[in-house]
Amino acid sequence: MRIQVSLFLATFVALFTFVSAQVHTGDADEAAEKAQQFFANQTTEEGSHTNNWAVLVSTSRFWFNYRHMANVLSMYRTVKRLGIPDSQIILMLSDDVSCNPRNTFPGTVYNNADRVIDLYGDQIEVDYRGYEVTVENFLRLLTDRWDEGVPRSKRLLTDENSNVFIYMTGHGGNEFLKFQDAEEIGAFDIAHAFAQMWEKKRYNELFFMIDTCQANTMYSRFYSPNILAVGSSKYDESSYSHHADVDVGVAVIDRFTYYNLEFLEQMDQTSNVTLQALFESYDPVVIHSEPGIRTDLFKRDLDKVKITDFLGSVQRVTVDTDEPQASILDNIKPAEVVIDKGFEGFPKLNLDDIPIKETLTTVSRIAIPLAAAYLTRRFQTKWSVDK
Amino acid sequence: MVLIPKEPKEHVERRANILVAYILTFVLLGMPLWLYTTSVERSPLPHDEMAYYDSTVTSELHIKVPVVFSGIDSDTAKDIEAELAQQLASQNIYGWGIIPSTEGVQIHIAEADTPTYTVDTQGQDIKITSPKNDLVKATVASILSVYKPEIQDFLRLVGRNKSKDDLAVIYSPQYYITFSLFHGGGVPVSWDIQPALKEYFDPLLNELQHVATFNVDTQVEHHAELSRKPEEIVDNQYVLTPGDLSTFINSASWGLSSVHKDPTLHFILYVPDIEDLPMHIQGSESDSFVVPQWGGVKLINGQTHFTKEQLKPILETFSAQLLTLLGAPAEPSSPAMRISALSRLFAVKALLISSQTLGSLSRLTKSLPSIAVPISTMNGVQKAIEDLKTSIESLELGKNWKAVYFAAESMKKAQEGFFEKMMVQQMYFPDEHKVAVYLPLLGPIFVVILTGFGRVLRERKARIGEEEAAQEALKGLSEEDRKKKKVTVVAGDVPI
Repeated sequence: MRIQVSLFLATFVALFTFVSAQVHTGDADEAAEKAQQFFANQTTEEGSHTNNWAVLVSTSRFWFNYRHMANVLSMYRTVKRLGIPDSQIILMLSDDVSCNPRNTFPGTVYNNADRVIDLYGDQIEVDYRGYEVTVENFLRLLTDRWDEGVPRSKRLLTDENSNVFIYMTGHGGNEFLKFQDAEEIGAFDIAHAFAQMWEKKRYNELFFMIDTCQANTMYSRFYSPNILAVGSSKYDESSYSHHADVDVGVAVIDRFTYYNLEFLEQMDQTSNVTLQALFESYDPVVIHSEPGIRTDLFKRDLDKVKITDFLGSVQRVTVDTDEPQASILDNIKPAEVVIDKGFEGFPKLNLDDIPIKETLTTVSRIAIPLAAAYLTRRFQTKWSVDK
Repeated sequence: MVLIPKEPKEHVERRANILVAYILTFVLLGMPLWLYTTSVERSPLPHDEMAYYDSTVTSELHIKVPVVFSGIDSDTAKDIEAELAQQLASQNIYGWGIIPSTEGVQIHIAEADTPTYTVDTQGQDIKITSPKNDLVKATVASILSVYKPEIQDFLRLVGRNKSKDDLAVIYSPQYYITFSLFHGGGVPVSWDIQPALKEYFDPLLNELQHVATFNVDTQVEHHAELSRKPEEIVDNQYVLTPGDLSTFINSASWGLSSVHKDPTLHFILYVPDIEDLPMHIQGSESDSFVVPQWGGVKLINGQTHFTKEQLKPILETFSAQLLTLLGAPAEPSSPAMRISALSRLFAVKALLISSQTLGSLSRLTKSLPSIAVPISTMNGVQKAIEDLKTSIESLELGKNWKAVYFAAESMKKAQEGFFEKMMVQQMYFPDEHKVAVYLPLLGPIFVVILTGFGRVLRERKARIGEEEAAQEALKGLSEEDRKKKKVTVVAGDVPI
């Protein structure tokens, strides 16, 4: 009988797998292949970006994951130092270790036992905090699919001229990264989100860096062009923390991020250090895992890609060489416009009209409190009579 | 050996019926319900139309500049139109032309010995003189040279010219313009920006409102320090090199972040700290520069208050930068003609984005079968296509303002469809995950049903065997015995 049951089970599983594959047509490999064909004909020009964005994500909750917050805040500090404005950094911080009761140094986060740099500092803008850091929010962020009224600070408003740097850290495994100990994001999810970004021209080039166990599996499924990906450890290999601070009581930073920072701290906004140099500085012996670099989707040579192309913001400016030839303000003349029926044109702005919204008119401002007072009084007497 | 009494026949039948009922419930009720609840909403999209506009919109575009000829008869006007089209076609340029209209660019043609043309610096007037026998050719040549920058921009937009426009800000139907007065130190500074804007900038803004929505705000900020001091000092003055300028905007500490999702153009009047050395920009007499797709900066040293009149030249610089940043062609210099050209180029940009968005949406929904396509997306797509058609028609009739308005509407609707909130890709579940979810749920039920199915099969087989045995037993018996025997057999109380 037992054999029969297991046989039935086996048939059931086989049957079910077949059915599910049939019903859920979302067979990712096939979709990826199809998508690849569709996207293949699009290319971008070399090194032509005009703005930089960064998405920095830590996904782990709880005090003992202090180092993941420190990892992501270290990258935050770096991209800010190299010139990306806060409005173009999306910082997703899954837990607030700085205010954790167990933190011996309240209001601070350090990435080193020497406690020289307080990563929490004075100027920090966390865009997604605590339980807002979810897989859904991350995917919505990348694809910009939101309710109306989601504030600008929570949105990735990139365009075809944007270079985007995405850094993720947390606990992960083969082709997944855990979010908040509750859910996980798969390598396919990120790959599809990137495909949608490319399809809607939401990036020029994208640099993906991930520090987690088996990190290199996370970028294995990417298929959209112009993506450069770096991971901290290969398949079936763990990433490790660097060192612990005995006073804080936990590990304060991961090895891969530590050595990245060690390199990045030596450069500033104007330096021409290339990504090639950064990648060459990776030493598997000290990192205790084998970092992976995926370049097949990326078109430029790494020794020509400056680190500030992704982790900083260096604007190319055009100097006005001479005075404008003819005055614009003196020569402007209203055009005759014939308005068609059913077409109003764009809404007009009048500099005289500064909208001041009065929520309550004078009448209601007096009448409402009076009415409220009257009603309260009346019901009070009624209730006291009832008693 | 214990003999299990044989079940009555109706029990066996009932069991079979129960099994059938279960299986039917599963197949007829359970499966459809499961399929319905796990399927994603996918409204039908007009994929053919979407793909059509995505691939052919550039050849559908026929920009026409409305012109009013004076000084010639309508036959000559037609000749000019045809000659222009032919000349452009000979250079392999299609999609740009003129259309005689009742309003628009006034082209005055007069006879003279030498062919000349002048473009009015204010309105939309072109004066052309030409010898009588060469009138058509001279007029066409003049029109072409007046509109050369616009035609080049048009060709670049439709992808027939590979160069990239790095200056112009990304197209949007709505822009924010922020005028900022930044001071490097703590000395009080002020400016009469509101009256200045009202008197000098408002007329330009009013004209620009035809091509997009513009919002204006202003701010004053102190202690706006540079992220690092310029290194070069000449004659006791800082000289800002291009390298300094590329990191001039100190985005980290200057209050420049916008709360708006539409692009913001920043215009900064920067007054270096009065207690420090004055600053000048290398190679710029006007001490101003443009940050591509972002805004413009002008340096003024040592001034703490700016009156309305003093702000005029500054606003002049900013206006020039604004038109450049919006992507208006540099020539002709008449602002009205530049804005008119801008309306056509904006319409083309919006139509291209709209049709590309439609194409992307079509490809995306085809390549990701598990993504939802809600009905609002379908509606958005349909409206986008309608407005797209209206805009293309208006362009062809020379109605620029209408064309740019509907192009913007089309783009907005297409993007609303694409960025529909519901269209977040369902998480990708590997098959093992699905088995892990469904097995504990369905496994026990399936096991019972499958074993029950096996039992019914076995019983049926046994019964058939039994009946055959009975038939065998009845062979060769008399009619009466047969009846007797049959009764006993069918009664079923004899174990086999």
